[in-house]
Amino acid sequence: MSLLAQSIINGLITGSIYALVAAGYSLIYSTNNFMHFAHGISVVAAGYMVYWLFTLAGTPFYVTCIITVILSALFGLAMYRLIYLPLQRKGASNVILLIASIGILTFFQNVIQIAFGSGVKLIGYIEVAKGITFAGITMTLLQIVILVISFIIFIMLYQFMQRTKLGRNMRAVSNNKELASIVGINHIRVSDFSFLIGSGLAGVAGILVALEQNLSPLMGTNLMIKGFTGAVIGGINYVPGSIVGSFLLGLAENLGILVLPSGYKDAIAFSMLFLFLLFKPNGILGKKEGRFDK
Amino acid sequence: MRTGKFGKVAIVMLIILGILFTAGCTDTEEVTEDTGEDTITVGIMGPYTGGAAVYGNAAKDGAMLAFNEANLSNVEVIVEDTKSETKEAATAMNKMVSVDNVQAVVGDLISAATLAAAPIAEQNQVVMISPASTSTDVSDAGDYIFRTIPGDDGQGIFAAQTMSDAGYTKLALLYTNDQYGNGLATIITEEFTSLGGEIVAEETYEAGSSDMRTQLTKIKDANPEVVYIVSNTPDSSVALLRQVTEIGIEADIYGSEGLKVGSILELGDSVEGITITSVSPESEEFKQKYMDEYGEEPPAFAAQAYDAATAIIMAIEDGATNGEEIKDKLYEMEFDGASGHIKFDENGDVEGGYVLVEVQDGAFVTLEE
Amino acid sequence: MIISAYQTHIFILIFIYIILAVSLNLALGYTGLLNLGHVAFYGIGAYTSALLAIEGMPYLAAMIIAGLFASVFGYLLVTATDRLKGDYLAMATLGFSFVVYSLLLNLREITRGAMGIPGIPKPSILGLTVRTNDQYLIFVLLICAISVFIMYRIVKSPFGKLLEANRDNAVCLRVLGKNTFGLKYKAMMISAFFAGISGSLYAHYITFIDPTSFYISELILILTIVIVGGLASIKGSIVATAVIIYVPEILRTLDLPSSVLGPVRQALYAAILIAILMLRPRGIFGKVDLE
Repeated sequence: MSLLAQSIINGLITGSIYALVAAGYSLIYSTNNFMHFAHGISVVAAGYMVYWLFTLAGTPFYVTCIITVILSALFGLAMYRLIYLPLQRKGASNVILLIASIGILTFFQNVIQIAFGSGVKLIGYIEVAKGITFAGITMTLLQIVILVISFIIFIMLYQFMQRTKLGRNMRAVSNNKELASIVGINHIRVSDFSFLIGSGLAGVAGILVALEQNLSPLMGTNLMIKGFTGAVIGGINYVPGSIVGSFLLGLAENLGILVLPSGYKDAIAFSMLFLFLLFKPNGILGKKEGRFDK
Repeated sequence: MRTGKFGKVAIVMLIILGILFTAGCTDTEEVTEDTGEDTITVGIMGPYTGGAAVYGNAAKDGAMLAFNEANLSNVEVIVEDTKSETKEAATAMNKMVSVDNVQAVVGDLISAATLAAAPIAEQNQVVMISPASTSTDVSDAGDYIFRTIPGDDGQGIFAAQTMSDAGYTKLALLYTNDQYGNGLATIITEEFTSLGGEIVAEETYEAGSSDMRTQLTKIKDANPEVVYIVSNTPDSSVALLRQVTEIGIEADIYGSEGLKVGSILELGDSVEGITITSVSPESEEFKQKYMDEYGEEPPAFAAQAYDAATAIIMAIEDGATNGEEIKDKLYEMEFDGASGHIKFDENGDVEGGYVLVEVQDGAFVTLEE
Repeated sequence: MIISAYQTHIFILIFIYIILAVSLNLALGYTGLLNLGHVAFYGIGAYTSALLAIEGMPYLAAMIIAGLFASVFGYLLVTATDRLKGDYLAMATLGFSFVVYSLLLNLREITRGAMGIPGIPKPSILGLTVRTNDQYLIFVLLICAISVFIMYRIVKSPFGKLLEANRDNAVCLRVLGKNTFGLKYKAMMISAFFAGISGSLYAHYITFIDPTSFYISELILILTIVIVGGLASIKGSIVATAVIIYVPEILRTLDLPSSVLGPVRQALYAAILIAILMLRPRGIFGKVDLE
């Protein structure tokens, strides 16, 4: 019994990490319609920023967090303005942007390795200790915090997309770019904001991942694959959907290996990705207006 | 469309440049042969990027230490990155063999990469000494293929016997789903069950992943007396040991030498008392030299790489000038290296002893027998 | 031989990747299927051929069966993803690549899992064994030339024109009374067949394979080649293969301190890649855009 309960909790913890990555990713995807794989490196860069400012330079933790989120947001904006937008203006298609994003990911992965070395880095803000046990379930305080934060982000993003003018514009652009520009929405401005907010979220994700796990230059690829899978399962065009999808993915992975050998953990995740695309390509909460067989 | 033309021209130039560069190198090779200079080129290859980069860099540092110390005037050392990929290992080996005309190579670390590069070394009569590839397949890879680390069977049997001797009967295995993890786990399972023990749980994870909570939960649920961890990516090791503490596994923790990386010590109290089965420890002398040079304790495989380099240096000092002669000398030699007594058997393997290393007060301490 | 063994090696890789890239371009560029599952066909081909040859099957038979087997998977993949288009197809096929990788890793009884398959025999045709790399180069060149020629004829044939027309405007084609039904299937099966062939060539060249040889980094490499070369351009794919494989080799000649050599080279490679894209945003010889 406690095995099942603990696995559900494990699934939620994993899912919350995926969700943090997926939220920003799908926000950017929904307005820009290309796969920004370099989102993974925004998360990693934020993690290393925390390591640099907090662990090495000794900046107070909360100041570090604020600076990290701001710099992440600007980092995302810079990627859009310096790489993606010029490419789009030259008529590059979405697959070219995909390759460019992989190029950016590779570039910064290696820059980070040159700057910080290939070893694993720990933040050391929170002492490693046995988690709090309650009714046979063990989890640490930080994990509870991460879960709560991802729920808060989920609600805030939902409200933002529904209530604010910018959010509505984003949804408009995501549904129909041409129509949106006809009614006077500047889609470049909307993209600017989606990169700012999405990468800011990557900053939050980076801080939490750095605290919960540890840092290595290559972690971005892994995070990105899982965040992406979660986003697709939930509906890549719709941010709250991608968060739900990430939690579902985390649960499926962790509950699945209760039955199957644990080597199949990734196979479960990817089979889910595949099956969802076959039978529910717009994801669990995704909008019908996706670009599916128009 | 001027930029278009320019783009095409630039790209064609790039290809021509590529052909020229790689071809240009052939000439230098011929020059060295013609003049009969007795400069012997030795290569070091390994993963300096990718998942195993930490070990790759450690091995490179260890080998460089030996070459710098020996400071032979007729030896030139070149380094190639194999990115933790098999195809890159084959490319790097080909490049070193034909462009740099190497006679011996220290590397690769990952067994898969060593196996991909081995046929090329064998065919070109170039000696290859791996400081870290433990797969049993490496034994049969060829006459020119050596290693300064004993194969998986050695460590697996040692680990199983140690745990059995310590009175444990219920063992849980947690290992990376790769060559190293699978190889070691199979042998431990065989040996431990034949010694009357029981494997109560067997869990795996992908190399580089950082979430093993459910695997650990299953292990906790199986209630083992001891958990044996096989990990060879430092990020997984750190994540895993942290989660062992957080989930609250009470069993004793043992691990393979892959756990012997400095970063796990940063986890503080939670890794105290972890026991690592490690190939014979580096000598104090080597430890001191390494620390003087690089400012940290030698990570896993640094001493083995140092010995691999030393073996090559000794062969060259002994008058060997090409791969074939180095190979012959290697089969004859015997010395006490930084990682223990080195004597290659007919498969190019070393016997090697094992010791237990325990984490005590934030440092790796070798337990006396 | 006039060229060094190193160059021979690079050329062999280039020819293998040309088959791989041109066949991907057939699906991606000419047919408009955003297929990220190509690396899975490549892996399936490599494993099939290696396992059959180890069992003692003659090389040519093993290679053809490898291609056909990959082709069967191509058929299955199209059947499964028939309703998907654009990015959704890309994601589903990416998922397919991941699933195949996981299976190669976990079906240990068949594939030896992570242990990989060492000692794959060198090809032997009609009693002649391809032993040295120089011989292998000639062999690969031959297969590459035949494959590219066949694919070239296919795209220039009425069938190829139909594929392109279907990519650009499927509805219109149906109105004209053309049968568009089997087009995607045929294109994908041909594409997968040649991917399987190149997988076989790779496996028997390196003589050791393991699942990591057919995972993300490989997928990124072939996708990069096709995109950089330009969609629906065989010439582009061929040129881009040479460029993308040569750039890292040129970077090897840079004299860098050994402590940072790996990451510096890779960072430079990425920067050059982005620069090429900036210079030629539709690929070197690209003519068409995908939705």
